[in-house]
This record gives sequence, C-alpha cells and structure tokens, in this order.
Amino acid sequence: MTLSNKYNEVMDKIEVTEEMRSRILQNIANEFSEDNTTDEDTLENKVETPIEFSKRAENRKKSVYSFTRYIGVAAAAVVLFIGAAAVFDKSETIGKQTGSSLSEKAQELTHEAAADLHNKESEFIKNSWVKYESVEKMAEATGTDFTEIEYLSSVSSEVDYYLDNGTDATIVYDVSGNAITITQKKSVGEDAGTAETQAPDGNVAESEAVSGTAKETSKPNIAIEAAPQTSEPQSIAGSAQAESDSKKDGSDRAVVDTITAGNVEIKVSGTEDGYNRAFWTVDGIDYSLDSAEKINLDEMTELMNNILAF
Amino acid sequence: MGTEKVSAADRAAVLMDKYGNMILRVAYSYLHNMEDAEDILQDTLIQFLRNDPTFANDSHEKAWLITVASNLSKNKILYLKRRQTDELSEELVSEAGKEDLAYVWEAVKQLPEKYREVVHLFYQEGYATKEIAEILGRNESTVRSDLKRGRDKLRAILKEAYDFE
Repeated sequence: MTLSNKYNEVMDKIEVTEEMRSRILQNIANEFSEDNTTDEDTLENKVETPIEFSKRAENRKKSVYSFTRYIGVAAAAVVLFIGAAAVFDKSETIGKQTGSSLSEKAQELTHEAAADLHNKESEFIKNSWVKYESVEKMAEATGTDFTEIEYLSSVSSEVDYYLDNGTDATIVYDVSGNAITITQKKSVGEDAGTAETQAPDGNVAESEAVSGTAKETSKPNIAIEAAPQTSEPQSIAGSAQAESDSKKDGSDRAVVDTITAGNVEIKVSGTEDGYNRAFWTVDGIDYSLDSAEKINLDEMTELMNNILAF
Repeated sequence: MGTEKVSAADRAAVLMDKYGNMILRVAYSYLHNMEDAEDILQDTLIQFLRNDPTFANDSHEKAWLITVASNLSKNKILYLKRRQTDELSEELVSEAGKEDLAYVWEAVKQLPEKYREVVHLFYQEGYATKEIAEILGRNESTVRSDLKRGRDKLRAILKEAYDFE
C-alpha cells in the first residue's frame, strides 16, 4: 500500500461524531445568542476599552469553551494602528484635526461617524476615535490604503476599526492567546528618517528621542523601543507608540535581535526572559508589534512567519 | 433573536455536514489532539458565521475554511505551546491493521509543521501544489520543495523504523 493511501486511511478515521456535532452546534447557538444580546446592549456604547474587551471575552468563555478554553487566560486584543501620513500634535485639543490631507467628504464622514461615539473617556480608546464598519470604509474616508493583516483577522473572534483624528487608523483584533499591539505607520517619504511617534504624555516625538535607550537598534522610520513594556492589557494603546513606565525601574535588561521571515528583516527586542516587540517594514509601511506575553525567539519567528505569509 | 439563533445554528449545521470532517482533519493534522481539533472546528464555523464571506464557488469556500482552520491551529500551537498529542487515539487504530496505521501516524507526527500541512493538503484533500500555495500563502516553488522534503522525510522515517517501502 502506498504512503498516501496509508495517510488517508488514518485521516479517514477522524470524523465528527454525533456527540461532537451536537456539542458544537449548541455552543454556536449560545455564542450567537449572546452576540445578539451584546449588540443590543452596546448601541449606546460603541467603543470599548481593552479592559472591556477582556470582560467580554471572559463572558464568552463561560458559555463557549472553545475560543478561550485552551488559552487559560482571558481572550486578548490585538490592536493594529495604522498611522497615516499626517501626524498630529496631541498636546492640542484631542479630537481637533490638525492635518490637512482629508477631503471635505472624508471630514464629513469622520464627523458623522464621530456622532456615534460614546461620551465616556478612556485612557486608551480615546474619545477622538471613530468606529467604522470596515477597513474599506475607513480607507475610503481617509483616502489611504489601509488593509488588515489577514492572518490576524482569521484568528480573531472580532475585528474593530477606529480612526483617530480622522487619519490615524486603528484596527483592533480580538484574538485569543495573547495581548499584542501592532502599530503601522505609513512612511512619510522624504521624512522617512525622522518618523514621529507619540509619547504617553501626548506629545509627538521623533522616534530616536522616544526610544533613546535603543538608538543603536533603530533604522530609519522605525521607532524601536528596546525597553520592556508592561504586560498589562491596558498598555495596548500607549505602549505601542512610545516608551512605557515599565522601564522606570531599569531592572530588566534589553535584548535586541534580528530575524527574517520570508524576505523581510525583522528587529525583535525584549528582555532576557523573552521577546515582546518586533519591528519591520513592508511596502513603505513601518510595523511594530508589542506582545504582552514574552515569547522566545522561535515563537516570535513563527508568529512573524504567519503574519507575513499573506 | 430566537429566529437568528436558530438561523446561526442551522447554517452551522449545514457547514458541519458539508465540511466538518475536512476541517477536523486539517486541525488534527496540526494539533494531533482530538479535543483541540474539535475546538478549531467550532472556531472555524464561528469565524465563517461572523464574517459571512461570499464565494464564487464551493472550492473557494472550502479553501477559505482550510485557511482559517490552519491559521487557528497555528495560533493555538503558537500561544499555548500545547503540543500534547494523542497516542494515535486507540479508537483510530482499533481495527485490523492498526500497526500499519500507527506507525504511519507516528511518522507523520515527526514531520515539521510546514511539511505536515503540505502533505495533508496534498494527500488528504487532493490539492495541487499551486492550490496549496494559494491556501497557505506561500510560493508554489516552496510548497513543491516542502512537499518533496516532507514525503522524503516520511519515507525515510518509515523505512528506517519499519522497513516501509
């Protein structure tokens, strides 16, 4: 008998049993029943904080074992920031648009969508964020070619799209297994060597200034922060953009390395007990990834291979 | 709400009957654990219902489901580091000739993941290398190379351990 016949003979024995079928269908029915309830409940509250994401995930965990059963922790959020060409000074009034690249139509769309925002202020999901139905609509509103990371979308239970100040796009992937922040910053052409990022205090700073502890690892347009980040999910928004307070004690020693996935060179950093950050550039977009859970180099490489496979 | 609840379950049931075994096998080929594979099957169906994708034809739909099931499986492996595998579940080899199946499966489990997924899609799902490349988001040449190495490695393991031809 051939190898392929043998392989198929093994695989053919793996079947969905009636018991398994019933179990799954019941879980799915419960899941979508909860979703409907949640939709109704959140009409007035369309933007959730990372903490709320976790709570929602915990609730789902109670009824549907699958998405979170195997991870042992609450489902986490992957936040994908897409920085558009325009950069804003956050020291000015939040929500005040300072860029000039949007068309009038885009501004109208932005303001219209802004009306849907809830009033509650959040440290991380800012009240200047406008939620969109899809990445396409967000791209249309800004005239920027925003896209999702297909791999992350396919492993997320939910994906949300936000636009900050009308130009900075943020895509939130609600995935299980870790809390990861991915930041995309569109290269600004001639300013490529001085990509700006936003500090926690709201000030815009050049990458070298923000990531002063890792200057030697920086390449143009990539704001590498070799210092460790807080592992709390609440750090999602802030930690991706600038140095966090976790470096203050200076107890952890930064480790920086380089890996390759496909043809893409990726700078990874973390501390001696694991990596939690990665930085790479594809098609003129600078990406940075921030993982709440520290992972080893092999796992980081595998994650990057998955992300860049699409 | 009740209607929608039934609707989601009904749609899931249709998908389950049509693709359930296929998705379960894809997941099992990664995870080697029936409980985990069942999780992936459920999550894949949920992803389908949530995203409500549209397809030009059934083969496109099938490819989408394989891609999602593969990604979910990889994600699970990556974050959980739970590569606990069944000892080729007894129920899978309880019939006559189980030694044959057991040693084949043991050999498959020794393959690196990138070879295993290609071997599975080639053998079990009957995809051509070009189609596998599209599903996995790799170059076709890479898939061909992985398939050849996977098969060679499989044969080598089997031949060495079991004098398999």
